[in-house]
Amino acid sequence: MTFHDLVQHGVQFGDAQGADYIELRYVQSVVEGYSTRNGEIISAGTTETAGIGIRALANGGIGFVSTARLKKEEIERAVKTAIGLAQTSKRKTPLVLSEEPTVQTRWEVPVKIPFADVSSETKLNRVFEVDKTLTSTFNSDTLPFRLVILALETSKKLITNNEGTQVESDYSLGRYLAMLTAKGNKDIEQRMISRGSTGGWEWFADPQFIQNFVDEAQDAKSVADNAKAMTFDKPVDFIVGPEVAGIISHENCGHPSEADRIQGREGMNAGESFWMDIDVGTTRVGSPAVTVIDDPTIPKSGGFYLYDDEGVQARPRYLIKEGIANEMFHDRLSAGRVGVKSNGSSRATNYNREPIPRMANTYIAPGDYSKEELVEDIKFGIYMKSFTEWNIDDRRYQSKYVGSYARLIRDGEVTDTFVRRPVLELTSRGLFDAVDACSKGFTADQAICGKSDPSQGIPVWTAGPDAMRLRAIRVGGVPT
Amino acid sequence: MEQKDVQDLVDHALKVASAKGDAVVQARDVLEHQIRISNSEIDIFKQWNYTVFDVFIAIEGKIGTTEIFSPTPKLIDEEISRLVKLIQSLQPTPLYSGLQEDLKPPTKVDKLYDKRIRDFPNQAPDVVAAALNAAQEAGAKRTAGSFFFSETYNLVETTKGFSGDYPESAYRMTLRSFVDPESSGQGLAVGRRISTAEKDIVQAGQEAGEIALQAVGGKQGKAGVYDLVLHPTVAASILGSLVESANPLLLMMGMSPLKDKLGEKLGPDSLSVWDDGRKPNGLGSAPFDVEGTPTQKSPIFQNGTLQGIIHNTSTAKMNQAKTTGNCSIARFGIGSKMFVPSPSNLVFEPGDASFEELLEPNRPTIYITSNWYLRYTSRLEGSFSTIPRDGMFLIENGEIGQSIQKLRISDNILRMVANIEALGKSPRQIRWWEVETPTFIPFVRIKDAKMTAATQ
Repeated sequence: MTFHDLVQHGVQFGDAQGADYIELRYVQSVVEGYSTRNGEIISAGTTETAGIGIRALANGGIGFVSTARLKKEEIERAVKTAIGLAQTSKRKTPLVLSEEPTVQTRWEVPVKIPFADVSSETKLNRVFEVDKTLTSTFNSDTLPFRLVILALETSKKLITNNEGTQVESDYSLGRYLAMLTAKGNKDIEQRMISRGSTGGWEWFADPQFIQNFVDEAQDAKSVADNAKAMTFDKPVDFIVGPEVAGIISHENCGHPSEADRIQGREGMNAGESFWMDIDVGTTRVGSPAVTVIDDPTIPKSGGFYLYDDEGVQARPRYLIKEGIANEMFHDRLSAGRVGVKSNGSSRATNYNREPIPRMANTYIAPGDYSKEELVEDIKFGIYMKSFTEWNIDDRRYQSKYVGSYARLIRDGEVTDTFVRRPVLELTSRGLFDAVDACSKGFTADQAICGKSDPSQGIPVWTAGPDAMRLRAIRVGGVPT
Repeated sequence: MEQKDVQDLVDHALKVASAKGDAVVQARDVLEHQIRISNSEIDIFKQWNYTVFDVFIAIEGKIGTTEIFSPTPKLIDEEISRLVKLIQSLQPTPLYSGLQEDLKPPTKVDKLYDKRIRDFPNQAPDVVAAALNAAQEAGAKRTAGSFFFSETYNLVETTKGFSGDYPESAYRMTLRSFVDPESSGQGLAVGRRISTAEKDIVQAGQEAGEIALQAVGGKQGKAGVYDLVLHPTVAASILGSLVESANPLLLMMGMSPLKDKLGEKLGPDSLSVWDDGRKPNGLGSAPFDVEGTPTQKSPIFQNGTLQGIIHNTSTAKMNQAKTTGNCSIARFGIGSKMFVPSPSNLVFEPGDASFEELLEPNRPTIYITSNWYLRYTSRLEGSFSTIPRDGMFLIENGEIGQSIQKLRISDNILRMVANIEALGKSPRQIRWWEVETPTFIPFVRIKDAKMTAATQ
């Protein structure tokens, strides 16, 4: 039987077995990885998987079974087991899914050069080129540790359920991760970078691919050469770059607006949310200068998709609109619990994971200013272009971002004085309230968003404008 | 899959791979379940039933791995052929210099498998209900949780003539109770013996409920320097992160603060830690590693001195050391795996202090029951921060006092290890979302730790 026949049969079989809802999601995936350390290969390989994830709703409970044994009898066993597991849950409050239009469609990531058409030598040489360029531009004493990882992922997916939905897709994502350690006159600075794009090998072939590494290494070297620890007795203004604005949009807005967290479903691991305590639609969670959007439909983006893993059409989500909490991420399960519609946020990392509400491409919406206009209004402040360490509590309210490339602003100009590791340790409300303006521009970093148990590290973009200004921030730091 | 079928397929894979070079085939036949819980109800009951082979091949110093799910002779042939083609396009790696050839009998490890795991899927919902009841009786208004239990048949063969297999069973339950959204407590139960699982899991529910109730009325904590009493869950996360970095791979990538510190005294005399691959009931225990080297108990810290790092055959040769039986085929980055040393169980030697004695010193002290999101500013320096979650308390007159909230540990791991003041006498096995390497560790008291809070 083909995978089309198998999922169709599984849905019909589950329907006949009495499932209130049955969904089969076939995913065939190839992930290829190449890693070098200081120009020497330390890891290469391919992980190929193909299997079907089965989710059944019965007696108000949900059962999930996955199998990579793609035979008719095995699918029947798995479907029966999923229904059985759902029935044993014995819930007092039955789970329901939101009602959504059924669709029969297909979508794909446009690809110019498929990864499969490029030899492994070419792929690996591209990684070696990065290291050669770095060592010829700097030298290995300046960059004693250089770790570069290239990851190429393609997948084919078919989602079918007993309501008649059938969505097929072809997906392709290229990304890289790197950890660069720069040794300077004063210090050592470690820089983690990650970029990615849906599409094919054409993205890696772009000359900017190599230049990004050189720029990042130069930033790390500048910090290691020049950064001075400073204390700030009075509040100062901050300009943060797109990397910092992007992580803020993800951590302080994206995660707390996930409906499953708000409903308590992630209480054990990823946690709950301070959005449990607010009225979405009316509560102010930031200044009017703050609008945060998540849009899976951005072409070439790292979190791109057109239909989610429940077959619901994707669309932009306006999470915060001019400072007001506006919308949560819903899948059909979280939407069904509160009687609303899904906004197409359901994602799973592979066939063997349940789909749950996830971010895609989350960003602080740009404003009308230029970066220079935002800087020129600052008498004394800090320009924080990038960050190193960060974390946030599991209610997504107590956040910390430690600056990496950071320079002092005086009298409307970014000076040559580097500030060593300035700390933004702020509540989500304290942070978003302090934003008074955003500039034009849009730059994205590729990230892996972690959530759930077993953990599902899913590709997303975190993005922001060229500059976001925060007024009167009390700089954090370790007490002495 | 029947064990005989797994054996036949592994034999086939090794035969195909051995025609190309050194090879290891590691097979796992897994039946695993998970129950996820929130608001004191089961949200989803899952089952994974799969067979997966990890195949490692080395050809003239070039190496590669592939992962084969639901293997068949045809799929094995195709995947190995593809892997060989990939390896031939690569360059030699510094991380490989041969497989273990000095074969010895596998270590005997107690309590790896309990056959009662077979009936456990039917009993599990009742065990969950009992744990939720215990949490509620202790004061919880609602409880969330994640409960995994599994049985696995493992088989490893190498081209140096090693062949070994063993079954294992495992469970791990994490429960988190809430009295209100900001008053929560966590309990863990981890092990391999199903006969004691229910008792441990119910106890975890009770602990989660008790801490949650105790946390009610929490006030904003004040930033400053405090002594900390760390619950084993927190100690495993923070101190375990340093011990885990005694790994040659992390050292050579600049991702460990232990670089060039072998033989240096970094902690007090009371600090002794082993990587112990044969610890009874340990979730990281096994009779042998993927090269066929018997697992062992290897000192990492002895009386505060960094005594050793873990190795496989290749990294041992690179460092003029002996393998510690820690070779693994471990996921690295995205898409590929590495043939590298990985920790098994981290085992901290307990001290002699009771929990009450750890609370005694009359200095500003905070008791932290759980934490998450540990991130390093610099892995070379060891500067980091992590966020306490669930119950956190001021210690007042040697007793648990005011519940406090919203503080962050912002310190340096080397300084914290140097400042260990005392270890408790009752270690627990910790393994949950935030602690991936099973860690046996007691309560720990650390002097002069730095706590920060949001400035606005």
